Parts: sequence; structure tokens; C-alpha cells
Amino acid sequence: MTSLFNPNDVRLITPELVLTISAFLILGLSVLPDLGRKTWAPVLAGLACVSTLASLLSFVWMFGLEALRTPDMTIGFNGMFILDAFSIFFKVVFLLAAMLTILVSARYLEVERAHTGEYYALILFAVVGMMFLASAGDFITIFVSLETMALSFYILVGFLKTNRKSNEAALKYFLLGSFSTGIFLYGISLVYGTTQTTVLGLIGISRAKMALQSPAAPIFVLGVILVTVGLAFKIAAVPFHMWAPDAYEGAPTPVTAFLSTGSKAAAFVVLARIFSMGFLPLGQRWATLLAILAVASMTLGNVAAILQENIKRMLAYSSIAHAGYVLMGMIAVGLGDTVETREYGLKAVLLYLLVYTFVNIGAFALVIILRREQVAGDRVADFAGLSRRAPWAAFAMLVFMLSLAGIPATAGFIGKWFLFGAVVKAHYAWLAVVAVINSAISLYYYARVVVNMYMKAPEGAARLAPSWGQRVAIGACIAFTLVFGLYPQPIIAFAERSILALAPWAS
Amino acid sequence: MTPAAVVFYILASLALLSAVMVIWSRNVVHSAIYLVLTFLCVAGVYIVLRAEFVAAVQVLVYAGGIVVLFLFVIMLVNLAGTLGPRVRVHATVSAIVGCAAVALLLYVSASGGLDTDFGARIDLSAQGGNLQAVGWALYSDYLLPFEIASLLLLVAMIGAIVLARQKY
Repeated sequence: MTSLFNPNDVRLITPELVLTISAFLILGLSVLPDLGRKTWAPVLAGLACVSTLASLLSFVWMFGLEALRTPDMTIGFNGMFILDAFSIFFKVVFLLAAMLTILVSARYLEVERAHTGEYYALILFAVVGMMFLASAGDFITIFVSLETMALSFYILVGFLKTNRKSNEAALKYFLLGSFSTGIFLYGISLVYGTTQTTVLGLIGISRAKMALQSPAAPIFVLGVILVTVGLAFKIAAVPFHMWAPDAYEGAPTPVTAFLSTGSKAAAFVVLARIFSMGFLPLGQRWATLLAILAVASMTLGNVAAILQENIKRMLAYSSIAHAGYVLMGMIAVGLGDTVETREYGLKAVLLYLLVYTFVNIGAFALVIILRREQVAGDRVADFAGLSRRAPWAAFAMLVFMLSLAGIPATAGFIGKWFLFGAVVKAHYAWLAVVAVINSAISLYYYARVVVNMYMKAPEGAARLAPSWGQRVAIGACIAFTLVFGLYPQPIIAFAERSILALAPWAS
Repeated sequence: MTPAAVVFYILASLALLSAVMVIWSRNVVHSAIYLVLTFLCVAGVYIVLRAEFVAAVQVLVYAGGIVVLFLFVIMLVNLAGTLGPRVRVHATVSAIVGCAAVALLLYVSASGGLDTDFGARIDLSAQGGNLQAVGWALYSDYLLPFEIASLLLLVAMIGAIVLARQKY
């Protein structure tokens, strides 16, 4: 029999509540009489940044640092909400990504004359969606949280109302996103129809096997495929990537940074949760499906990135390729015949998404500070001679490009090392070979940016004027990339501990 | 064939037929009217399945609210001349992909896993009927998604205001 609401469950969602309440506060403050948007907006940016920090600290306050070390799983709201180290890991990633995004946003929005409180409220609502997604224990919660996140992003992508590219990007993203939502939902309905439950744990423990042995097996498999397709849209894997270059190019650059890291990580957390908790009995089948997606994404993403003149489009294709790399970790989870292989694959996914968040936001932050009055600053050619105009900015971009290419001594190398190792462990060495060849291809277009910065004469002499928030964010990203590139043990240990809770395969 | 099955097949084929007409007809107002017919037939299917509450919501929200909104947009926005020529290549590719998808669905449903017993076997009268059962589920098991959904609607509302407002 169903039980009613348990007040103790509210405790579990404290970090989400902190963010929701501050988003309400920001919304309330942003409708105050026009004291000059100029005076209010920076205050709201500060408030948004503080609230992400408060949310982050509330984890420590609520659960203590011990919670991150134990493989315990706290289930609340009748199985709808799972709080474990796995979800906390991703919530930390989302909050850090949001914090960095907010730090780099303020100056950019002033230049675009679109600096309002609603922007920050929507960023926070997107994070709330992502955080619930990380904890979702059944398909209904997954769907509702996924839509909360996606809807916030549709609006954020089109936030520059007077910019036609932004309008176009938002419309394309919205239409293709809704379409993929429909496919995802259809998949869920078929899975529900054949398993009689939406709870992931239940599907994984018994119902998936039952459905596979019943006459309804083809319907169940079709449902799994449609769920995969819906999520492939969200991570922008080929052939479901069409929206990404246009949306990334047209969106305000801080939103692009957040979209390519936070939203992608959120889609991967669902993928990991659904496939490792619910659909593990079909591991072999969906791993094959993901392998096709991974090869297509890596190859097309890297080859298309070479042809781009616009750096936001180039990074969009690079992010498609990176989705392909991360999928390799999930393939190891599906194929792995031992618990170690599966854990290794999942660990690689977590590690890579954490690293990628910092590196990619850092790279986009450089594109953001090149945007000034009259200068769009989003062509690769705009980086020409940057080493002479702004040596530190050029050095930062160098670090991020090397890290995205996966050069040793940067955090990107560590991430790739584990992903490639995972597929080798799962006896899919050919996939690792494909990935290595692709990494070599990707060197070309990352190096092109570096060549532009260091070996070409500057086109204009305009100085860069990053705000202190942007300096802090870029500094944090560089520090992360280099420190954990040379000494990766802490983040490896963090990822290792986080997957212990998500081990239904242990049996 | 049970009477329920007969009613189901009539409603389902009518729904499919009018869905095809939605994309077939060149007049957008006709498309919208066919859409109403599709929604009403689906509502009928829900009644056959004894999901009266869902059927009522289907009529109120979809056939009522959403299509009226469609008609408003169609009448406010002048669509004459904006349709343009049909792109041949896209149409061909879409046709192939669409037919393949339909074939796959037909193959899967013909594989025999589908339940063809149309009368609902779940008796909800003990729980006070359909509406009460839905209410119970929403406020007990599904409380969290229900609350997140309210956040979702709020975001949609903010988005509409932000994007439609004249200045920032």
C-alpha cells in the first residue's frame, strides 16, 4: 500500500531546496522597480554564485564528508529519490559548472545588453533539474527533471532576443529537443508496458529478465532502443547531433559552456543510471548500440571540427567527439564480464566528465573574454597573435587545447587514459584504436588555435578586459587542469568511491 | 471479438486516419480540426480502457486548450506564402525513415507480445474510482515528480515572459 509523504525526506533534498529558494529570491528581486538594471544585475549574479556555494556546502553540512566515502544508499520519496555517493559526485560537478558559468557570465551579458536576473534564475532552475536527475530512481522523476533542465536551456539559448542567430538556435534546439523527448517518452512507455514498473531498481533486479523471457521481449528491446535514442539526442551523439553546432554557435557563449558540460554530464548521469541499474541484463545488446554511436560521434565530430572557422562551432563538433569518447566507458560497463571491468568503465566516465567540465568551460571562457563591443570574437582567426596581446590568456587557451587533445601532464590525458583502458579491458581494443586515431585527428584543429595564437601577427590591437569573476574562473580551470594532470590521485579516488554505491552488478 | 475490441479498432483506425490527414491537408485550419478528431478518438480509447480521468483530461487540455491555442496562432500569424515549395530530397529521406519506423513498429507488435484483451482488468472502485486513485498516486508515491513538475511549469512561464517581453 502506498504510504504518504514522510517529512524526513525533505532533509534529503536540502541542496536542491537551497537553490530553488534562491532562484525565487532572484526572480523576486529582478522585478523590483528599475533602479537601473546596471546596479541590480551584478548583485543578483553574486547572489546566484553564493547560492551554488551554499548548496555545495549543504552537502557537507547535511551528510558530512563521511557520506562521500560510504557506499550507502539513502532512498526517499518512495523510491523516487536516491541519495548516494554517485549522485553526490554529479551534483558537485553540476554545481561547480554552474558556479564557473555564473562567474564568466556577468561581463558578457553587459556587453550583449542582456544582463537581467532571470538569466541567473534560469541557470539555477537548470541546475535543480540536473540535480534531481542525478538522484532520480524511476522513469517519471527522470522525465520530469530532464524536462525542467531542457526547458531552462531552451530559454537560455534564445536569451539574446535581438540576435537572429540566438533565435534560430533556440528554435532548432527546442524543436529537435521536443522531438527527442517524444521518442524518449515512447521508449519509457514501452518499457513500462512490458515490465509493469517505472522503478529502475526493480527493472534491473527482476523485471528486465522477466520481460526478456516473455513474448513481449521485442517490445521491451524496442523500448530500450528508443530510450537510448532519446538520450543520444541529449548528449549530441551522431547521428542525433544535428542541433548541437547551431545551438552552440547561436547561444550566448556562457550558456554554450554550460550546455556543453552541465547538460551533457546530466544526460550521461541518466544514461549511466538507467543502463547500469535498469538495463544491465541487456548489457551486451546496448553496448553494441553504443559502440556504433561512439564510432560515428568520434569520427564525424573530429573530421567536421577541422572544417570550422567559427570557434564555437569547432568546440561544438569537438564536444560531439568527446561524447563519443565518454560512451566508451559505458560500453565497458555493458560488455564487462567482471565487476572490475564494469567499475573501471564507470569510473572512467565519471572522471572524464569532471575533467571535461573544467577544461571546456575554461576554453569557452577564453572565447567569452574575446567578445567585446563591436567584436564578436568567435572566429578562430580572432585568436591570431593573442600571445602578444595577452600572454596569460594565450597560455590559458594553450592549456585547455592541449587538455582537450589529451596531451600528457594535463587532466584531459588522465581522463582519456582511463576511457581507452576501459574498452581494452572489455576486449573491445579495436574501439580504443579508433579512439586513438581520432585523438590524433583532433590534434590538428586544437593545434590550429595554438598556431594562430603564437605564430600569427595580431589583427587588432584591442586590449582584453576580463572581469575579476572571469579571471577567477579561468584561474580555477587552469589550476584544475594542471594540478590534477600531474597529480590525479585525488580525483581518481573521488570517482572510485562514488561508484561503489551504484553497484547492483556486484552480485 | 469482444465489443470493447470492436470499439477500440474503430476508434484507433479513425485516430490514425485523422492523424494522417493532419499532415496531408494543405490547409492549416483543416489540419487543426483533424487534430481535434485525433485527440477525441484517443480520449475514446482511454474510456475503453476505463481510464475516465485521463480521457477527461485529454478532452479538456488537448482537444480544448491546446488546439484552441493552435487556431489562435494560425489566425493571428499570416501563413499565406510562407509554406514555400516542398523540398524533394528531404521529403524522400523522411518518407524512407518514416516507413522504416512504421514497419519496425508493425513487426514488433506483430511479434505477439501485445495484450489484446481490451477490457480493463483493474477494478478501481474500491479506491473510490479513477480520479481518487490518480490523486492518491500523485500525492503519495509520485509526490516528488509532482512537485518537480510544478517547477517545470514555472520555468515555462518565466520563459514565455522573458522571451515575449519587449525589452530586457
